[in-house]
Amino acid sequence: MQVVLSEQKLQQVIATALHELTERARTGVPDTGTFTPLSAHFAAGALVKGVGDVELRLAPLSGDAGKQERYLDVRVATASGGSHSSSWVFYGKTAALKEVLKNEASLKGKIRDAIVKSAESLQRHELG
Amino acid sequence: MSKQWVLSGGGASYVVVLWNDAEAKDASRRVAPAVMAMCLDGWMRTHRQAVREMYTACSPSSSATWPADAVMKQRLADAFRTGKLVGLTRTNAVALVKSVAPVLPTGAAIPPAHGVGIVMWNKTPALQLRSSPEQGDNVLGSLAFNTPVQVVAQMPGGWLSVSTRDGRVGFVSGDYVWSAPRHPMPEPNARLHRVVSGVKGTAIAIAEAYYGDIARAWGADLRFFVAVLAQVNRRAIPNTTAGWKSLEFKADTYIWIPSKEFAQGLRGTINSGSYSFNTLDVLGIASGLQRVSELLDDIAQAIRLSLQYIPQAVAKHVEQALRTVLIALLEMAVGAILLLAICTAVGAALGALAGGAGAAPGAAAGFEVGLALLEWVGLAFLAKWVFDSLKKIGAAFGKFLGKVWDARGNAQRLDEAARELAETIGVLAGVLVEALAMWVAAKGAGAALKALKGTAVEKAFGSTRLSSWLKERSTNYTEGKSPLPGPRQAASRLRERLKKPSPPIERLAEEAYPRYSKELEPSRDLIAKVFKDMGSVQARAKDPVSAANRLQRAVDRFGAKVTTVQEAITNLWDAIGTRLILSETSPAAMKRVVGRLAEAIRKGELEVTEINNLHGPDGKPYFTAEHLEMLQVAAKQAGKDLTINESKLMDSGYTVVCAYLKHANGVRGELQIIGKEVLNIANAEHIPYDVLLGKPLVRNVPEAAVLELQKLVKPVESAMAAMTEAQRIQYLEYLNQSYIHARAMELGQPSKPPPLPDGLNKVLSVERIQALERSIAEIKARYKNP
Repeated sequence: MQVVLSEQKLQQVIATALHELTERARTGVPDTGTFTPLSAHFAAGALVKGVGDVELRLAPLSGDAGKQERYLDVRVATASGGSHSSSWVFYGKTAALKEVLKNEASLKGKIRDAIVKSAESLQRHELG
Repeated sequence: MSKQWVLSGGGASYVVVLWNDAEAKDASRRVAPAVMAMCLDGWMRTHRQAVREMYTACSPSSSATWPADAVMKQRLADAFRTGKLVGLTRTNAVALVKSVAPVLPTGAAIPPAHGVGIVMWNKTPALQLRSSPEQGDNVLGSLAFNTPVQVVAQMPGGWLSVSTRDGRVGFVSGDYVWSAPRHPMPEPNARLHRVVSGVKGTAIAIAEAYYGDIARAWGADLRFFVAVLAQVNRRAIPNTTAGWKSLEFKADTYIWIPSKEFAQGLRGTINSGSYSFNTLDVLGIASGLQRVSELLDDIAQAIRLSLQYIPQAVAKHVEQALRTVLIALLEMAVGAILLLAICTAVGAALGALAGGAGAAPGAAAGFEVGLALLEWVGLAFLAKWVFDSLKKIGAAFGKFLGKVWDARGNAQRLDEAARELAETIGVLAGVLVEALAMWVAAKGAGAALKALKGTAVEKAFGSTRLSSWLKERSTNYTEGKSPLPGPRQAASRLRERLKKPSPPIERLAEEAYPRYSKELEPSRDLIAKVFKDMGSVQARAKDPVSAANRLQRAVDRFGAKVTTVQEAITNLWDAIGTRLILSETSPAAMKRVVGRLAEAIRKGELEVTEINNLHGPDGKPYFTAEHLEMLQVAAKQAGKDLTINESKLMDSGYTVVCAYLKHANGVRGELQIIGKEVLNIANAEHIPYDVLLGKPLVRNVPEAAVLELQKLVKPVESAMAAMTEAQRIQYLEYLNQSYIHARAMELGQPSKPPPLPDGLNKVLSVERIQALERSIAEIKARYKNP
């Protein structure tokens, strides 16, 4: 299934959003302890079929685990905004997160794949 | 001196000039001849004299007689096409908006019309809607007492050009419609009351009749409602302790009765005690009313401002060939109905606004407005096809309302609101074109033409033109050339479902069945083991007919490669269906269920690739955000990816968790997790859902059972086919509420089953559908095991 409508532009917007998130993560994510979730959004309606906004969300786990463990969620909304699909491209501690964020190119690829997978999943299940 | 005619229609004003007029050279103001031609119908009713003058001016003889309307119309259309007559936009169109420019012949000195009015004639026969502004054999229909109308224009002789919400346009005597400026409505949902003499004519008796129930339930005494009646009808309450008791209205006069919501909204700024006129003013009722009036003016102005942006917005969303027609049609609809629709939809929210705390109504009101527009243009039947898009349109209208709500007369903000509105109209236009095309493709051009007869669409196109356009669109659509996304997708899904799988796919499905069904028992056992003691487990292997349908969809929609049995198995993502019917769904029980599932994922007992957590609007899903986080962590700990989909848009309220699993040998399956009460609804609800999708209820059954089943399901199919669009939406909401009630029952929360909405066939009640489901199951079982 070909859901990506503009590969180049998609790569660009992911790179921009990821870069913004990485910059903010440098100061906004402590080694230990919880923090306010960080997120970067972009509109992907013209780039991926059936998709509306995409959010990259870096957050601590809920509860006590959140003092140590973090995740990076790729959340893809449908054009109507009534449904969304979520998948994690990172889960672990701050040190590991910082290592992952150093390699933006690799992470960008994972995010792109997660978006495509989510878009396909939403379509397969006919979630509008 | 050259001749000019200023004519309006549907909220737009045009100047018509002869070819030799100096202004005819102004290309920037020229209006397409097709648009002018489409306006002729309306002008022949509303600007008869001007139309005759135009005809005379461009005809070769100077005869004072005129041909039949159809001939005159054709000749005038020809005159526009050949350039003898030139249509121009008005140079000062925007500057005119505040004065609410009426449909006036040149030179007439008639006061402007103003917005929404209401029929005040309450005798027999009812007020007659006429096709021309004169008495005679021209009655189109009747308008009951208290029918709201949009006053499009004031005509000579005291006639009004009006439009009703159900799409009727015509003329009524202005003596029998109350509207501004003489009788401005205090709020859009107000009604009139004819005062009778005696005790029943006192304000307290009238307040008791209209507000007695909420006065008791809501804790406000009737003095408050007497004060509301006094205020909106501009009567002073005698400034004594018992003054409110003595307030009376004159017998045989009419007074305004604000809606309950509005009246309640006025409360909050006043205390009990004195309700004299002056005190009310000080305490805010009067300023609340003033704010409402300001808001209605702002809405009206934003609508008129939007007209200049509509052509561009429609052009963005609609292909070239249709633009002029649709622009004219939608401008007409905007002028004729939008104010009435918006006022009706947002009326209830105005009460809260008057009370000082109101926020702009959102998408729900916008949805109503969208539906009203569809109804007016005669395309409400298309709502079924554009339901998803209508939600989007509703949200866009909601955005417009938000902007206009905060404008408070600010010109820049009103302009922004107008642009927003024009864009929404453009989206609606695109959706309508697409839906019409799909509908025609499904119905056939001939039948579609017949169904469209008499609608505003047919009038705007002209029947010959409409016929050729419908045929062309139908062909384009069938060939996949339709340019717009949206409801087309919904229709293609329907077509996919109805399409018969190809013979090779059917063969592969048959061959795959014995292989994947081997996993049925192990899968059932596995689920039972993982969720031991948490509920009962059901399981089935997808039958080869359903499997073939599923595979065909995978091929058509996702380009799946299905040429071998193994590929068939890989593409059947619900080959094995298991269902865990939970014996308890309390928060503590759900935590245990999710804990088990997470543990099974972590240990690799279950490989879950996707989870759908579904519910309807305002419904309660089974899994919470914390549950979903726990499952993501488990998947990561197992080194697997997990995609979690959440949807709050299940129109019928379907509430369930579906986990998609990988079983042994590449077989895939779906695990449904659901509570008992909700399952009872779901088992029944799939029947109306299938009918709405257009799926035949009798399918995949032995030949011998067909007749018996068809007889059984016919009443439901007929009842659903007879539903109007508004009823369909009501019914979906009823089903959604039934799910919400079932969830509340599972959680031990107090709840009552929702009543079937009035006007819907009783066979559609959940109880009757459940009984039908049981009967179907019995018949199927009988034919399976004769």
